[in-house]
Amino acid sequence: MNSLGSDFSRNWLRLSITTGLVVMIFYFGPLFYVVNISLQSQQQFLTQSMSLPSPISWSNFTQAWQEASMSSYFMNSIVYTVVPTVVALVFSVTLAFPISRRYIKGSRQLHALLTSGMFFPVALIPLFIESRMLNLYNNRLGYMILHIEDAMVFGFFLFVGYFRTIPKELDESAVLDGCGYLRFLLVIVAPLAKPALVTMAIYAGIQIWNDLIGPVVFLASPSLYPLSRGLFALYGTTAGQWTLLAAGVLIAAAPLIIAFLFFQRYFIEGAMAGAVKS
Amino acid sequence: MGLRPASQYHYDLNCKEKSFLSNVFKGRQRIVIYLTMIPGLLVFLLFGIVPSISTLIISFTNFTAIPGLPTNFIGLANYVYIFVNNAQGFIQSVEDTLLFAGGVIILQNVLGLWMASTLTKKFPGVTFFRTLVFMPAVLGVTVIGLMWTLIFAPSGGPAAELLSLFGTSSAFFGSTTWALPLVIFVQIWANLGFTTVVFIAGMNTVPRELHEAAMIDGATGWTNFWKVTFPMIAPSVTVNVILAAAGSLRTYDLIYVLTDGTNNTNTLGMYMFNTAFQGSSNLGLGAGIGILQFILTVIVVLILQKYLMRREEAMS
Repeated sequence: MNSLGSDFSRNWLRLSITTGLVVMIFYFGPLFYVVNISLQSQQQFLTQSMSLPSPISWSNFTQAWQEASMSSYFMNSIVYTVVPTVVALVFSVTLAFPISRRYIKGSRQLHALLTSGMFFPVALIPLFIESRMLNLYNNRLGYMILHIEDAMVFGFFLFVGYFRTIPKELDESAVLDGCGYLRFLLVIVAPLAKPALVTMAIYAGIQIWNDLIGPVVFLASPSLYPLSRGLFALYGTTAGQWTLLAAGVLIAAAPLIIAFLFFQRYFIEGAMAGAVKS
Repeated sequence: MGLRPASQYHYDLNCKEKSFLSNVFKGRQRIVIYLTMIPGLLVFLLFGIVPSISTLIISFTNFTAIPGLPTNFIGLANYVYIFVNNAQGFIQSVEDTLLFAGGVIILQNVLGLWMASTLTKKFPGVTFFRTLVFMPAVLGVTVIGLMWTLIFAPSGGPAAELLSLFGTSSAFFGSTTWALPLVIFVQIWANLGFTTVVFIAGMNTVPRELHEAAMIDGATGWTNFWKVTFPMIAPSVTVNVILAAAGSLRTYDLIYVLTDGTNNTNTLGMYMFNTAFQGSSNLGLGAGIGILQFILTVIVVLILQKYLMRREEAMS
């Protein structure tokens, strides 16, 4: 028994060490490599790309920032992400609450319909035609409007379940106290549903931030590009200047990595909930 | 069992007696409820329902993205083009799709099982490793795609340097042999964290006593895994296989960054995208390809689901 036990753990120890090594090589390695070459000069990269940068050169970052007008991409990304996420959050709450309480006629049918929205086939082509017809093509407002639906359906799915855990007695006492519906949502429901709201906002926000196909299809002017599209454009114009591209990749990745370290828990929860969607 | 408390009754979705419950909000407040639902429903109708049903209609037209050209209904002409005029391209694309999806489904789950079974153990750095494996989920296709483009740069990149130690070289994403396996690799790299987290959640539900009992009966690590853990996490396997299938049969954004569908990586999604939005911008034809991609996805997922459900029943 004792020998079996130690045999068991020795096996797992060996496997765990292998896992650690594999993770370090394949997950930490690429990141380290990109950081390394982003600090090298173009000349050093051509001769000794595998050694540490000497001397450390920040010129790739300044060049990528200016050449690719990263600051304007950043501003676009922030606006494109925050506005639709907040709007979708509000819409999904006002949809999910009455439906989860079944306060309106046809709640069950609406619930089924909105949930099925998660499984609709990707409808990129009709959306493109619609964006042209409704004047949503190649402008900021249109681009943001086009991103509401996806996030809203995800939020609805998440909230309908969550609101059921909030006791209905609260609604009744709010009405008795003369509290209006909107104030009730804002003051009572929102704080109680905070974990679900944060999960939705983080997950949906990162999906919108990272969207590449959206800007390729719906935006034509480079001045309107978000970071994802702008970085891809940088790749197109800097053929072969790998150190410059590496700096661009890091500029785009840094906010995401920081956000991930802060909101990891919410993000994993969102991914699990959104799993049915992808 | 006695009577259920009234409050519980309200939240029971399966209760058949009433289609809606008495609304505690009255009068003006009730109108506010309806009014605040309108914008969301409008967005859902306009950007959810309408596009989803119109793909099929568009596939019967010659819609193009080039302004000024007339749009007509052309019946099944797009499908005739796909199946007859461009049969070879279509078959190649289905082949690329199935190879890509097959590779991703199998390898992502095998690697995910391995990752989860070791990352549920306690050893130094295990939390760090978990975080690292899950991180690509937030990085997005542009960052991930370009990062691996840098790694597999045909000259000067670390992969090229490694090959040169053995005296060979490769064009990597530019090679007809290696592009597809490498695209599969990057796709798995990006999604392995999610698969692993689902498996970890499944493994945490397996009671410790089962493993201990198996060990007393003489089961070693490997047998313990196969005979105890694996049957117990059948539901997680089902979830991961179905998600990997549905995802990999439809996705194309990562492929767009890595190869743009060249070198035998022209999956149906990529084929649809490039037909509709590049070159001739033939939206009608693109919609037709999209419909065929949707049909293929549904068929594969349904078959897998049926098989996995039966397997789950057999194991329980």
